[in-house]
Amino acid sequence: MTGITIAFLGAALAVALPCTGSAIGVGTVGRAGAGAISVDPGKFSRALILQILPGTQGLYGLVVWFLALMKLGVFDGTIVAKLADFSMQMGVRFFASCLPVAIGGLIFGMIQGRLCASDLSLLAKRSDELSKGIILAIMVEFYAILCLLATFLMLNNF
Amino acid sequence: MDMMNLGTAIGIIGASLAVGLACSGSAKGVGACGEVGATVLAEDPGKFSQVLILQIIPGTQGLYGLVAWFFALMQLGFFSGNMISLTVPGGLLFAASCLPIAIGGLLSAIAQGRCAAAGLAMCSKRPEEMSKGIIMAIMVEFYAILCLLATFLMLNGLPYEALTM
Repeated sequence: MTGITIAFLGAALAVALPCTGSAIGVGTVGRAGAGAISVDPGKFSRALILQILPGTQGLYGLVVWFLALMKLGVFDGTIVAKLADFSMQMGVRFFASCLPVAIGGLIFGMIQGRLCASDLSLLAKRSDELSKGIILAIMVEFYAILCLLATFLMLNNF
Repeated sequence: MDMMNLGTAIGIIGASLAVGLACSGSAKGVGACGEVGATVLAEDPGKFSQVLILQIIPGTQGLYGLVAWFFALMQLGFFSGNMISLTVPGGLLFAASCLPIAIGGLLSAIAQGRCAAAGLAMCSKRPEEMSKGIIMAIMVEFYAILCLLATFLMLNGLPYEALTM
């Protein structure tokens, strides 16, 4: 019965840590954005687009959390049957499967936030080069998606 | 509390962390805004209402923590007088369910406090752009709401009949 508690902890971390990373990243861009707006209020919409970019990691975490809870049968009530036959080893495996998106989401959210904040200083000088700044930020996104893919494929086995 | 109720005790630790950490984060965020707000007010006392609105924004995480704590204790039967006795794994499941709002509330409130403080500094230069500062700070709020949602759905979905002794 302890196996499922470890699996559950993994699911909780899979949503908590990416949301934390996204919150920190979005907050970092917001800080830089406030500075950019106080210089030129017309840059608000561009700053907002850059602010949304580090926010995707939290959504990935939510997707993984939802998938994990579906696999554990929390939503359809089959968790009662799993309480007994979910071994310790399976619980640790489940926890480990949730780790890529938990760790990756936390760290990539923070890194992407810093990257988008420096994109804002690019915008301050050349306001028409937003698309290049977005492309630089999306390079980081790729690795977050790889983490999501790894977690998804590992969870699919349960 | 004897050993029979160890699971319930672990569950209550989770509920306490949900309210304790989320409120700590909010206090830190609101405090960071207050520090910047005081310097803004020193220049122009007329901006008090704007400072107050931006200062309140990082304060919501503490309320989310309180909601999660209240819901958790209701699920344990704390308020109705007959507490359920969770098994130890049940208590751990319960505590793990409380973790998202505890971790997410703590850290997102700190990040939001910094963001709102930067919005306040912007307000001292361009008071008419306050709404933009509010929108940028509210973007962080979304992740605290996701954490609250996750905690709520997990606490709601636990099979309590199978986890009690």
